[in-house]
Amino acid sequence: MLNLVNIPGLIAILTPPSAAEYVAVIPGAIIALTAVIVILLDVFHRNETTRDYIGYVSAIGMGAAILSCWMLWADSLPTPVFHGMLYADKFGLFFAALSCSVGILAVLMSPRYLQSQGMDRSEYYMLTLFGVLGMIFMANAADLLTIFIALEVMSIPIYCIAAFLRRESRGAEAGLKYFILGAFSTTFMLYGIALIYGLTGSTNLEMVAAGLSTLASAETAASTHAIAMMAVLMVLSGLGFKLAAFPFHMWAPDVYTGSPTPAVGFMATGVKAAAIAAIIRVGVVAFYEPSIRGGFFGYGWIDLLLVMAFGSVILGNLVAIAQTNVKRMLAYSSIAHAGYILVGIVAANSREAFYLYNDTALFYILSYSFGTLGAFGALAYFGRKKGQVETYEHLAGLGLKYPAIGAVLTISMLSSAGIPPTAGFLAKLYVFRAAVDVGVQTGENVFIVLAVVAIMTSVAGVYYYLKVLVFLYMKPATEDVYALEHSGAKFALILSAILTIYLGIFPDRAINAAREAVIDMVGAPAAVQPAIAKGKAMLAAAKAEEARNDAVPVPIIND
Amino acid sequence: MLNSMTQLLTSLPILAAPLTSNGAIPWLTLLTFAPVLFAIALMFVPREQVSVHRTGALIGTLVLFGLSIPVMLMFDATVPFAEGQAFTFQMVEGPVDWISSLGIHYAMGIDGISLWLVMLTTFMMPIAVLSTFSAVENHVKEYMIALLLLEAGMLGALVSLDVFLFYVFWEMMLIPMYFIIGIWGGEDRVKAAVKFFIYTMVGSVLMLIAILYIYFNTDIGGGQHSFLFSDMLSVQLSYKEQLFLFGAFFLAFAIKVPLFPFHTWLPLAHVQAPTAGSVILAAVLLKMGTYGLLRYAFPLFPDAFKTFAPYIAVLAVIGIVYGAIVSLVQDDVKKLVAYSSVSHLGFCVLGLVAMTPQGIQGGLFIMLAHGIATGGLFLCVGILYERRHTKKIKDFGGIAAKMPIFATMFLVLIFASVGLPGLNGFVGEFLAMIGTSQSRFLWFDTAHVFAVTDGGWGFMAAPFFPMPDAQQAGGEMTAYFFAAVAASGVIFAAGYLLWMYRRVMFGPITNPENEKLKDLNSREILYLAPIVLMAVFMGVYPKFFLGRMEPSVHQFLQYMDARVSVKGSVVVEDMPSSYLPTGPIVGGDTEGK
Repeated sequence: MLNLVNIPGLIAILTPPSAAEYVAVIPGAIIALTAVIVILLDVFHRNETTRDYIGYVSAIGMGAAILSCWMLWADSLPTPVFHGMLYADKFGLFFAALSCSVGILAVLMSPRYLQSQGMDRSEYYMLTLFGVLGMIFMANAADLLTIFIALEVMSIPIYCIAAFLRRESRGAEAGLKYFILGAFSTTFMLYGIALIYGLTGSTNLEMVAAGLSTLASAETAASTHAIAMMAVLMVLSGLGFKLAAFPFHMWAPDVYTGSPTPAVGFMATGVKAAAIAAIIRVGVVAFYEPSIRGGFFGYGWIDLLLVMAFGSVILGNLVAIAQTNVKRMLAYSSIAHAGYILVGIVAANSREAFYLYNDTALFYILSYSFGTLGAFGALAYFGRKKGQVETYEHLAGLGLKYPAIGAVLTISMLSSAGIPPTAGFLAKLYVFRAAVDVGVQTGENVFIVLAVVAIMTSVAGVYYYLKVLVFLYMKPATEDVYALEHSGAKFALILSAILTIYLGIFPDRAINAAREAVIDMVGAPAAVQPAIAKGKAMLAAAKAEEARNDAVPVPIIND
Repeated sequence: MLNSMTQLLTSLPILAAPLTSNGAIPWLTLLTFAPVLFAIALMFVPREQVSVHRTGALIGTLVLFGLSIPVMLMFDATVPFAEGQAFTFQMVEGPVDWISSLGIHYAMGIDGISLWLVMLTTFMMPIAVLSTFSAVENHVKEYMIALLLLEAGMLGALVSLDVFLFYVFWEMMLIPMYFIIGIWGGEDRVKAAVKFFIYTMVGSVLMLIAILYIYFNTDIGGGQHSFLFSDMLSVQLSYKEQLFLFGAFFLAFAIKVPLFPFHTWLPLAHVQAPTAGSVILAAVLLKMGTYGLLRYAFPLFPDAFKTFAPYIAVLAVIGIVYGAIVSLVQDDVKKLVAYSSVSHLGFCVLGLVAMTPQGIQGGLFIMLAHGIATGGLFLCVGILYERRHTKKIKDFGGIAAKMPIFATMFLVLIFASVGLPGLNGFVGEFLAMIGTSQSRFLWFDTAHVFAVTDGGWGFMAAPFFPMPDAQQAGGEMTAYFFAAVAASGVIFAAGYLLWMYRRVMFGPITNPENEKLKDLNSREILYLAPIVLMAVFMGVYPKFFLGRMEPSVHQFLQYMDARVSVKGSVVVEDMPSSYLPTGPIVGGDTEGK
């Protein structure tokens, strides 16, 4: 929001945005349109048939949105659009495409599961679509208020999805818990935004950055620094709640247990991705002022994220060991994964020179998403006469009885555990590599410690992921679990497994996309421009190298 | 859309670039990924067609053995050394950029060290598959797929020349083996499988950190790092760094070997694993540990290796004696053979750390001999178990009268494992002991230990092993002592194996169930006979194997001699002139690629 006292600004508001700017909202518009179509389809639906086709229509809509992201990729806009409310850069497009992908996989996995729970309603798809809409705008937001509105657009449908199994008491508990705690945390965030507006006179991210840097001058810092820190931490805690990172994780296990299983996959990936996008965007564009940013215990938000990273990887991995419910275990493991992502973000933003390492977070969330959706989707693929498949015992013997789904769940678990050749291994390696490199280059041992702690806890993680495989393959089958055969769900599951393997073996394209996204971030402060220029040079060199390698292989080893 | 899809396909660097520089057939790539193709083919066969799966897997592994024969024939033992390098690889494929954003390459090659392990793998796999025809009744499809994927992982780990690629294959071996133990194993299989997995994983993760550390010290221009093994070898590490990194590598490989205090997963895994699993575990998987030590841990950190070598030798000697004594008291045949592995691999490690030509050749030969003999013993135990569903020694007795063919073959394998001259066990152990006694490497450097315990960290930051010039290599008595204690292991081996054989095969038939035992059928003869013949062949004509190892071993020792700061501690012998490099070997400080 612009400063209204500023007269030229007022005039700017009154002029309508140019046609080129509307291009920026194409993915979001496609999603919104699909959501409207889904609502209309439900009106004309006859009750005797299933609502599978509504799921397919939603998936096609999101597929069209991904396609639009792909087509917009080459001509991202270098300036904010809609009077500084939205960005249309590759960073936003990356997360938009990611949200749509997880949305597609989640809706494809859902129909039979919802039927088995007696809740075959098209509201589910509509809510998922609006959730995706919120995620897209969260990643593209250029203003704290846009972020807030997008966050609510995302959250409210997801509160409803969490409570979707309304006949179960746990579903109601999940929805209510998520809603109350979520409302509480967004209130904090809104209060933080209000404080920032009070301090800087603006909510536009770039103007906030300018305002904060003026506040950082010696004469004003003494009086305003504490308030500015408070505001920043409030905003980030609101986002940290959505990320489900320690210490804002308390809701996750209960909500994940009570929500519909495929939707948990969506919540655990899409919402986290949106939160990551917003944290990186806000952190880099608005709060990059060194006194606010901190780092290495300079008491800024980086230090908060560092503590969150430590706490998440330790707590998530250790508590997950003790779980008997697989959904609960995956909830704790998702907390741990949030920790690994934060390791990457902390490493990347602690010094301007390491800005490019933000791509670790992007690649990690991408790899994590497919693995996690595969896991929740595989759980949702099975049904029981009473209730749903959620404990280890329910999984006993299913791997050999249903080899395809068993293989998907196995690949998902191996990926989450970080075992090659899956995407999860490469993503972890990429994050640890960043942390170790930052530690080595700056001589700050805290990063080495962080990397070692993260790696050691990931070994602890192997234990509970293996436990799933133990039950899946090494225990005798129990009779009352059966597969909810559905070709759409099967397709989505196999697709997520293939993507998990593909990203583990040929990650170059994804890594390069993540790098381009990070390099292209509009509104990045001047301090990181050298790093961005270096990244651009690296990408160009890599392209040239690729062209050269295609021509002649270079023998390096003596024959 | 279509255009970009084709673009996507052609831009995959591995698929686009030719693997060999002269357009020759990429044998090693073929060998590594053919099992994956066979496994994928089996996935499409309905699970009810059990015999198709069995014969399919057998044909697949036989084809792989066939593919590996040209590799052996094309291997040229007279190739001159690559100057200043630790290894001269032949049939090199790549390096091709695999994940260029991380400096990861796809590169494969083979030398005298890995050649025979590759051959051992392809030789043992059809035998292992054939042995499962009657042993495994449930989930045959999954079993065969797991075996084939396991073979891919093992072959890949042996031939990869990029450390990342090696790590990927190293971990890839774990997963099928985990399933083989966990699904088709005995009563306590889940515990055994999880223990196997977690133990190996802990070691590997530490190794991964160490690999990353070296990776950051590589520089291939423009601030880019590389995982290529040759790039990593040229990294100069300070002594202190070497100590920690060697520790991480050593732990990973020592768990896999397994060396004495890290061996506790092995008996459990062996006893619980199905026969084919035990055979592969003993024959190939354990060798990955010794192979990793020789290929990666020793040449990457020569000075740290010099410091730790006598302590490793102590562990190896303890393992030899401990494994032998524990074997003596076992009442379970399979457990006895499992503990004998600990003892035999102790010999192998002792030979490798001696840093003499005989020692390393002996170590390498033990890897092969142990793979053949112990693999064969596990097969024999499996045959007994299939007939009687027990592995307890006391349930047997007098079997020889009922199963004469089996008794003969079992006896040959027992003697091979004991180390009777003329059979394969003797050659390796004899060479390893000769090599150990000749060693100038295995002496305790008290001055240095004092420095460490005294907290001399500043002194340790020196770039090289801080040895005064006057103090030269020595300590022959220590080496003789190691060899002498190790020799007792041979006597113990005769004790526990022959005693076991007597109790199982001879004497009166005490158990009426043993009356009905049938001798080997033709399929069992078909898979035991090659092993027996190979044990004899390796025993009477070891030169066939040693000759192809020799140049690689000499080159490795020259490299170590140039790199270790304590001069004169590595025994380097004169070699036939054909092995010599075309130019002078440059003593290796900054010499790299």
